[in-house]
Amino acid sequence: MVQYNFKKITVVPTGKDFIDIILSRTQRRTPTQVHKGYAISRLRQFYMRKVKFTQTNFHEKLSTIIEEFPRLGDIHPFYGDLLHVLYNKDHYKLALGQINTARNLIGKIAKDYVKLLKYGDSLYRCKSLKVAALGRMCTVIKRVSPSLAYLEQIRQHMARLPSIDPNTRTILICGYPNVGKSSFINKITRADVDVQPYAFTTKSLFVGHTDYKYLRYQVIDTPGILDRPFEDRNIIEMCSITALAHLRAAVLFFLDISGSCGYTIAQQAALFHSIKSLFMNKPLTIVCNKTDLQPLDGISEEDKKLVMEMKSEAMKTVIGQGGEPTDDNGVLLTMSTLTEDGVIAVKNAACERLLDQRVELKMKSKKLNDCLNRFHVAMPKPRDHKERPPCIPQAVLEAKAKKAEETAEKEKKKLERDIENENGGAGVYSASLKKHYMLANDEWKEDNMPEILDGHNVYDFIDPDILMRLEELEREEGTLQGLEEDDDFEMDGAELTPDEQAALAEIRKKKSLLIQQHRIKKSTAESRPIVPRKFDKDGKFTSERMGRQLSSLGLDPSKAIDRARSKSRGRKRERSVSQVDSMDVDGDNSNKKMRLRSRSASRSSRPPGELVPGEGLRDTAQKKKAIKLAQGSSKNRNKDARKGEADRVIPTLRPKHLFSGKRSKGKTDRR
Amino acid sequence: MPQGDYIELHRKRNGYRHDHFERKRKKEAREVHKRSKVAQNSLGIKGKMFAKKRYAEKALMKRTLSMHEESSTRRKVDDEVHDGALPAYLLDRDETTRAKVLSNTIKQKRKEKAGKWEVPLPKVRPVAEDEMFRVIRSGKRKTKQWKRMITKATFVGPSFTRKPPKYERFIRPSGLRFTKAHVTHPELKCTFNLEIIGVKKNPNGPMYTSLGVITKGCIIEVNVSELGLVTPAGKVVWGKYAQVTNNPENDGCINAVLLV
Amino acid sequence: MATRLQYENNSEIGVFSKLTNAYCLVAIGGSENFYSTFEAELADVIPVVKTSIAGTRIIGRLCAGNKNGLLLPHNTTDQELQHLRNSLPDSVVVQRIDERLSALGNCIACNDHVALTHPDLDRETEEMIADVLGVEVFRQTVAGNILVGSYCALSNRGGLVHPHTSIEDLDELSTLLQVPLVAGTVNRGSEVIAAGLTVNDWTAFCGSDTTATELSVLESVFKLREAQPSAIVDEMRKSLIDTYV
Repeated sequence: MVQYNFKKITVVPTGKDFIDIILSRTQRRTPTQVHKGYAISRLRQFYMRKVKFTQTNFHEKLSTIIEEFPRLGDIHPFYGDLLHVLYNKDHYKLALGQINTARNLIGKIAKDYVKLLKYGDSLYRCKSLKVAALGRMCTVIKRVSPSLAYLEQIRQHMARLPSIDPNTRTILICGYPNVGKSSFINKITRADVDVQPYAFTTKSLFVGHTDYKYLRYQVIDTPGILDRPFEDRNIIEMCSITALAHLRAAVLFFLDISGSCGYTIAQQAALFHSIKSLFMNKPLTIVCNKTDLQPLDGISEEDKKLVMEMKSEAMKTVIGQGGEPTDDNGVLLTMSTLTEDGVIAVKNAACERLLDQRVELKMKSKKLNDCLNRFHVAMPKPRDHKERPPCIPQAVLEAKAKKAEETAEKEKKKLERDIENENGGAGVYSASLKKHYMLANDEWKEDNMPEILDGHNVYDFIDPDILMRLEELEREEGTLQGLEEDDDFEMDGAELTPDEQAALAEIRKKKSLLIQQHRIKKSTAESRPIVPRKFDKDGKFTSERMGRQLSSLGLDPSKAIDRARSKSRGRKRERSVSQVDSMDVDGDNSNKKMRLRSRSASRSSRPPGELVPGEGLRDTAQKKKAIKLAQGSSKNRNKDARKGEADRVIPTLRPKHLFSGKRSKGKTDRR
Repeated sequence: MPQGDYIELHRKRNGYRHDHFERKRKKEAREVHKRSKVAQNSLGIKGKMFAKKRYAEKALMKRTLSMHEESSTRRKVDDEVHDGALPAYLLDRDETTRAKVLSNTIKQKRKEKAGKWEVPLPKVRPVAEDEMFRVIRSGKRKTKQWKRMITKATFVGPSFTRKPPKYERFIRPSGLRFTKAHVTHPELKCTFNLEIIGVKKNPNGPMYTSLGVITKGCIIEVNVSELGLVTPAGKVVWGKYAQVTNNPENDGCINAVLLV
Repeated sequence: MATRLQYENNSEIGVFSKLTNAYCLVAIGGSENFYSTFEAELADVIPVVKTSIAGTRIIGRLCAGNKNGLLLPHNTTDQELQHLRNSLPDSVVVQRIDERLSALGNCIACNDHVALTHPDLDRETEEMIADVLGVEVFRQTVAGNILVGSYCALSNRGGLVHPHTSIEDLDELSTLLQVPLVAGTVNRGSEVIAAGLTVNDWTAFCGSDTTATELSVLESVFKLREAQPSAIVDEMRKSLIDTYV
């Protein structure tokens, strides 16, 4: 379904604004820094970009204008004709054509100048070419500025056209000026059309909407039409004619039988006959208005004849499309918009007839078969004798009955929404979900239920008969308690000896200390780096402290300290000492086994130059030299970043000297 | 036919709001101050543009004012004597301008022979050779430097074919070739886009003339058959000379003044 | 009486609410507007409960229920289950079931007496439905769609089904359900009936896009006013033809 909305056409700037917009965009969105010293290709590229960018912007903007304005051939003929009547098709097309030409011209200019820029050989030349290019583009736009101004005016006007949907259910009101068309539309819709007691108050089409039988009807008020040749009609009248010609609508032809509009019934009948070709195939209703001034029965004989003639003509239009010819109850109606006599009847008759016509047309279409199921109500056939009653609470029925009695007086309930608004609105107020809990005791509502208790999901243990179990348990416990009442066991410090008590206290103290330290350690471990013992300023982990502690426990610390020291110092010194002077071995090390082991270990490695018989070397010097040589040979060469065999190499696959030249001498691979 | 003329409709029904005219008057009074603020605060190109616009407005205003004053003040009518005006007693005599015309054509012919004209741009800046030509290095090793490319706009005849590259000393790039010129008729004061027939003379030297280089001050021959000019003998003039008034390589187009 | 409303600018209100004859579930939203619309209509009669199911707001599609019970999918959290048990009257059995198809609302369409289910539901689930909801269970499709819960809306007085249901299917379904049925749309032509509409025996809520014609169809088929389903065939026939064809 095509929606005609001309409100979304973008604004067409005037020629001058257009140029300003484009040029400032070029200035803002392309680089601006350029220097003489740049490579010429860079300079060319810089200015070419400016030219091309400007051209694309022009092209874009002009294209939106061309695309957004409706093409008169493509839109619904009603709108096509309406736009033609209002703006003159030729002028409109010419303006758009000029814009299109301007777009092409600009494209050509850009192409030419980009080509010339390729030959630019200095900054100055490139720059003057760019200036010339932009200048010529702007000139082109300046030339079409009258077209732009015209299109902008049209755009503003089109945006304010009423949005008429040419395909929907439509009621069209027409007639001579000043017969009460606008008053009628004001009565049946909320269009709020200006009503004045002079002709041509309504200068254009107006749209209102009304409802009938769940459906929405579009009511169009047209300007008055005078009875004169088609060519003499002015734009205002032509609007009406266009609407009559192109909209498939129910037409209400308004007839002022009192003649207070300034035209006699004969004149109005003449108009009717001259435009009756436009009513073909449309449900036509003749509405005699202003019956408050002049009832239909009171008009003169010849006028009556004219009216009857019109009625029979109106009947024919229906016959023409195969409608029911006998049905004349909706063809001639009387009403008075002043007293609102018959207004609703007219509306209903028109809607009904339009609907009948549309339905009749649609009944013939194939599409109906797809929708047949939707007009079918499937009523159940009883399959058993079970009663399946609806379940409506009594309160609802009561409320309904009450409502029927007194509709107006009902005190407003305070809703959650009102509470929310009082408490700071959405996003601030947070409603309690527990408010409406149905519990045995209202005080329980706000109780917190733990989700997890002692590592167990509470909900897994919820038991419907928990209360019973609990009672049972309590009873059991009661009996147990009764048993244990007499032999009460108690553990406290009373029956300990003072020594034991002191020890206990000591143990507890230590334990708590340990826990404390552990906690400190744990808390710091995450945030602070671990300090190596070397930097342990507090002297916490010294051997002295260890000694102190051990001695406080009544143990001899010397051995432990020594072992710690020997570990940290290594055994090297000890070894050399032992070699040089075995007398210096201290008493603690007097264990024979240990001593032996240490000595044998020290002997295992010899000074490298020492001569060992059987090696085939003359003396120590020779051996040292041999060792040095051996080391030298096995030493990795310092490569000084030179190419090595591990480096990736691409060999010359087809060495030139082997594959080129004449081959008078030698072989293909040996020359 | 707007249905959305709600502002007008409301005014029609209820009139203007009570302080409408006062607001309007105040707004107008404020306008001057606003404008001066803009004028004082706009910088750079915006400021220049604003000043220019304002200047034009003011000039227009002054002119209209003076025009109004002119119409009210009485002045002495001072008719100036036009060129070639005749006293009344000579009006009925038929002047023979024929001889004059003939001599003119003879003069023209002589001038043509001498190759000198009175031209709108009698002197032009000489163009150095290295500005005119760019050296193209050619050869497999790009060592040869005997080719030249012309960096100015050129004209080549419609039947021109390039020489084989081996013999082509001067290259006239096709991007810089022009076939049309915007020619202004100095008396009609209007401009036509005419086809170029040939380059008559380049002020920088005969070599450039023969190459068809078009620079500022260059005399070109244009096809004026569109203009419908007629010789004194009554023949339709086909070609006419014109002098180039701009630097075509900088502007991307050739502007010329017709020599009459 | 049908009410038109929106959930946070979304017309698919059947997704965010569940209405039965004994309770009404409403999704927790950014503001109380949605809840209050239900509250204003229903709070005097039945509990209106704000809840989430499986941490989501699409509660209407995840759970199935009637006045007898409420079936919840297996991914309902313990908290939500507890919240619902606390909020609903004791006569309503709240049951979480282990069913592979967790969008129970899409798979089950039920009123207080009969239920249509997705053909692929487990046998245990079917038994559970029969037990908890107290209904007869039929495995059915609606207009060839296996998601019966999405494409029809039922009450004890009538039902609205997918617009492409054929007349024969309509009659068959109507006999199964023992209520009058009509094929129709909601929300300006949406086929997903249950997403745009939630209904019980005396009231209905539908998405705010629903047109006047759609509204009048559903009011007459669910007998919400004095209108009877036969009105669709008589009075509204012309309007319907003009809208649909």
